[in-house]
Amino acid sequence: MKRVITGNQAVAYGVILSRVDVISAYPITPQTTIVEELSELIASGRLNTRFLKVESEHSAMAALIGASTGGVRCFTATSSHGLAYMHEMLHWASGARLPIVMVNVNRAIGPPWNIWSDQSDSLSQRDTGWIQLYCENNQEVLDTILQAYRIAESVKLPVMVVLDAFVLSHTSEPVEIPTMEEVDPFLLPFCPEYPIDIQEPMAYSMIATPEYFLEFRYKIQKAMEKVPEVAQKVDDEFRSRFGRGYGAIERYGEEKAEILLMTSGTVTSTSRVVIQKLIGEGVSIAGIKIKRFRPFPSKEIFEEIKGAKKLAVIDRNLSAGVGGIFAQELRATLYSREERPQVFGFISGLGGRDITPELIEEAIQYTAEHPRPEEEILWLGLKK
Amino acid sequence: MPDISISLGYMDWNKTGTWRTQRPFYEDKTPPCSAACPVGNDIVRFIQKITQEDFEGAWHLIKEENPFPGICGRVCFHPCESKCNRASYDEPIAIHALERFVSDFASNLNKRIEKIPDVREEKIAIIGSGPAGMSCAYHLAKLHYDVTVFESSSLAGGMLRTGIPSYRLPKDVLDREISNIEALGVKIQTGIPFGENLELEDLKDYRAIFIATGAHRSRGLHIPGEKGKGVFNGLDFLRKVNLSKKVILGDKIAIIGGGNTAIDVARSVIRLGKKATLLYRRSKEEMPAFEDEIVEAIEEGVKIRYLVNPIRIQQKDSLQRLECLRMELGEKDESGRRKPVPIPHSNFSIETDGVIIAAGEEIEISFLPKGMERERGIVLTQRDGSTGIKGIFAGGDLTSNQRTVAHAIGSGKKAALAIDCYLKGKDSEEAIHQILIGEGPSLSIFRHLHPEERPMNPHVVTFEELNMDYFEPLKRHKEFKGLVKERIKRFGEVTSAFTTSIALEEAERCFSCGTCNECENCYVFCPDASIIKTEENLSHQVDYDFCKGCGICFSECPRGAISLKEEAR
Repeated sequence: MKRVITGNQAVAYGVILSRVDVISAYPITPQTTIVEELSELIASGRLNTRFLKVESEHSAMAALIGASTGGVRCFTATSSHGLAYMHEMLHWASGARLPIVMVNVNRAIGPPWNIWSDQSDSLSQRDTGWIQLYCENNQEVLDTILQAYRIAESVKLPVMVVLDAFVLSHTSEPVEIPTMEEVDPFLLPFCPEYPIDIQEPMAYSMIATPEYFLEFRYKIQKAMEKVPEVAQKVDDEFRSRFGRGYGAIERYGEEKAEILLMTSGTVTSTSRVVIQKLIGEGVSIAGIKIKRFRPFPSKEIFEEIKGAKKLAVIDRNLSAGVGGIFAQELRATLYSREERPQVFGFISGLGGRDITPELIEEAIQYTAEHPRPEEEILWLGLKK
Repeated sequence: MPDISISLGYMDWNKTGTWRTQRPFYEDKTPPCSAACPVGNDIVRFIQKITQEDFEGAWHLIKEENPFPGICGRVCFHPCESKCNRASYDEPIAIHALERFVSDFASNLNKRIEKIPDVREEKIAIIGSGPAGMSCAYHLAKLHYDVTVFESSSLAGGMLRTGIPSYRLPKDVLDREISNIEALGVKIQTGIPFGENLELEDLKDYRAIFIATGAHRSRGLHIPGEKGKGVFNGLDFLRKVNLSKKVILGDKIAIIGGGNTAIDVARSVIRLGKKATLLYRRSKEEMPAFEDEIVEAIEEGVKIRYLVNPIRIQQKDSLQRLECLRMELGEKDESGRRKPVPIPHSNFSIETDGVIIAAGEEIEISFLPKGMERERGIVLTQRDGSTGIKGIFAGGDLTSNQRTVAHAIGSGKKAALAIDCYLKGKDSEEAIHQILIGEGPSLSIFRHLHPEERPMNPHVVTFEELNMDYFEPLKRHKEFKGLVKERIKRFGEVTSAFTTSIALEEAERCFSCGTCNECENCYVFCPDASIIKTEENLSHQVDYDFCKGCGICFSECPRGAISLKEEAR
């Protein structure tokens, strides 16, 4: 069934189709309509899910940590300051190896106060041990939630599904909604490995002395290393069942292009239009969409950038003192390679400013005209 | 090595209860309604039974303490509701209406308390079949005594029959509850006035005597003309009306007094098709009649003139001329009410066709045994109802100035307990102390009969001790009252009972102060899964092997039914 729905509604459909047992969330713009939709469905009895009202995002995640430890499928959604408030519990969820799925609607962190799209919130949490998947459109949002539970429960790590504030969250697009009957065989019920049983009580998340702590962290890294393979398998199965797949990254445009434009989130959609136009004008150019940020898809990127001389990266985020975070990750991963294209790190669209086709073209033009970037950070559309 | 830091074996060997410094425990406390009930009804528990739709169970619970739920549900002044903690939140629970609902339910099904077997040899005589005498008889019968009640009137019931009009208490309700007491094995002999046909010497075979002859004498005004023709006293008037005797009345009647008798007289006068004006010497605030009844009287057309005091009644043909003085309020008197003071030269007259004086009641002393001490118009007794004479007990209006049905029922119950102790050679003071509800004065005879069951901390639960996070405002349900124009035509009951659905809703409003109602909040909140519910006993227990004493159950209990104490070291 195809329906015209917002990104937040697509999230709700994804949650319904995933047969989530427990939801706990605290409202924050632009995430609010997700939980509104879900809580109304639950209140009216149409969705058989337990909704826990809480007084903060920290408690929302804490509640889900309890529920997930108990052995049920959990969901929450947040944004910006809410995600920052959860920070401590994000570490706990991954450290306890709980397959919680959370949607984060990308929003800038204040001050200055701002409710619009910006990746600084989710990228500030890059070291918390969560898998991070960025979506380009509403269909991908719905599909990614279904895939996220498969990946999370397979590697026992939490997954953050990320979408842009307003550009996706509050904008309607046609979305193909699978039926429950179609999803059920793809996403089987959650079978926890260490469920709580009060008849046979165990101690959970107890102390690990220096003799053991390192090994637990090693296991989390190993689980992260399994994600590319697991995610690929899940995506392949998804494609065979539903006819849609996304990969960890996606390359589009000229096959032999020497300049590659790397984007994530909705900027990719704009970039596709710009690149198509430039190719029509005879420019040799291709784009790479980065969907999975954690674990960082180094291997996939190495495959796709063979032969490229320059990588233009547009970051809708800023790690002050360094620059764009995607560019930073890319530089780090390229360092060990023989073949190291120049990385042009552009910053644009912070706090929800539009990243227009003109700005994208300007970035490509700069990259084409310069053998190497003149500065570590290249600002697009900065008012002087 | 597992993927998470989890114990390799089960952890139930680790008795985390040893970490506890404070111990939660289930302990029922006294709800304010029961503490305020002169009868000693187990109100919270009978309301709990209603919420479980076990109306018969509710009726049995009430009947343990009170033989008269149908009567109390209708005519009690419900001090329980005045003390209801819900009043501090929105409105008190309509306890009286729930009690009536339960009683009507039981009577519709013809429910009865069964005859008591194994009657003991000791015979006990009760003088007076009003609420005090019948309550005493009821509880003595349940204690297996052989009880005979002597009543001067031709019908049992005392003031319930002769004093309370049937629009408030239908006679069939009274008959039913009295006949249920008879069904237990209590014998009632009517038409035997004490002091005339029956003397103390005639009662030698009886091991104990309970005297509850009430206060059936109207107090006079001590003004000229009050003995004249066309001047009645309120109790005589009510007795005639209530026993369906013929009453000849003029059209305009003045009633003197401000108590419940005066209101009953006035509303009866209205129902006889006459006009009623009440003359009261103080203002509305000091009126001893119950608020609801004043409101209903005014609805029905009773006129009330405040701060008016008759000083002379003159008869002119069939007319009565009442000379009155206007009053103003002075200092507070010993009753705590402001004293009426005459305004000099404020004399005025009221013309009327008849005067009924209802200015209070007195006890009859002529037949009282010698040696019975009296003070301030009542017979003096100990707390247990014992008089100075061995084997003779007294109660009801005879021994108290709090002249309510509920107080009378309570005093009869207390005397039954005292007589039981007296005949078994036990200390009644000690026995009363064991079963006081809160600090008293009322007591639970159920706990006397079943000392091990339903222990209750005497502490009366306050509003501040409840957890209001778990309640939302809900309006109190009102009983339906008949249309005024229909009400005044006849002596039929004014108030209708709650329907089942309304009763259930009203019962749900009860906070269940201090009394566990198995809401399971403790079970849900306990972080150590240390609240145990056993199959055979539905009530909850704490698993002290693992309870760490965090106190969450204590603070999240909505009704103060869990206590916390420091762990002994």
